[in-house]
Amino acid sequence: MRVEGIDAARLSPLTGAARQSASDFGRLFTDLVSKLSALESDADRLAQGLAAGEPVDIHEVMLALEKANLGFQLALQVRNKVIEAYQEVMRLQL
Amino acid sequence: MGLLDSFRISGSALTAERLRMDAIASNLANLETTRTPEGGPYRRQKVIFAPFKPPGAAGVGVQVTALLSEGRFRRVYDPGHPDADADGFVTMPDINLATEMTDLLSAVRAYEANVSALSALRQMAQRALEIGR
Repeated sequence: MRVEGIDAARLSPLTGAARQSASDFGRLFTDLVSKLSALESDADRLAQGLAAGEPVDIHEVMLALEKANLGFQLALQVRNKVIEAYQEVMRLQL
Repeated sequence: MGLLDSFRISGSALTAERLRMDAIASNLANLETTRTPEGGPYRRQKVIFAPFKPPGAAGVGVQVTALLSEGRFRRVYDPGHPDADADGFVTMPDINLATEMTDLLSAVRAYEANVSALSALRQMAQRALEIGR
């Protein structure tokens, strides 16, 4: 029996659909992270304004902080789910 | 993010109540102010609320549309006062201490109520994040 080496030309490249969905998820996650960072920079700006004595309402700062907190927890949950799914796939018996 | 936008409904109410509080504090501070830069005694301040639609939220928030200066005064007999007129009467702002204190309590309670609504909303969001955990 002849053992053949792996021929790169015979491996089917990642097809369009698979590549598309990977980039879709990547885009989703990038969007989420950029939105999260916007929320956090909002909260940061308001908190610094309050500390510097600018006319910022305390409740505005608390609301911005709470929004950033919730956004972060949401992103964390999304990340947890993705890791979970990945590990589930890696555990598959081939 | 609908839920986060809903924060703005109660948030707008908090801002409005704080502005109302400013007006009440000014009224209490100027209970007996007889001269102002504009001339005449201090005029009682009053805030007017109007609905306000935050972008993205389903509900309607509130905002302060106008700060009214009332033109009612009371005349107090005090001939020794430097602002007394020929008959010995001084024109003072028509501010009732009891009314202002009631307004003050009402503003504080309204603020608390809106903070409670915000906490409830936050709890709902937190519960939603626990789905599937």
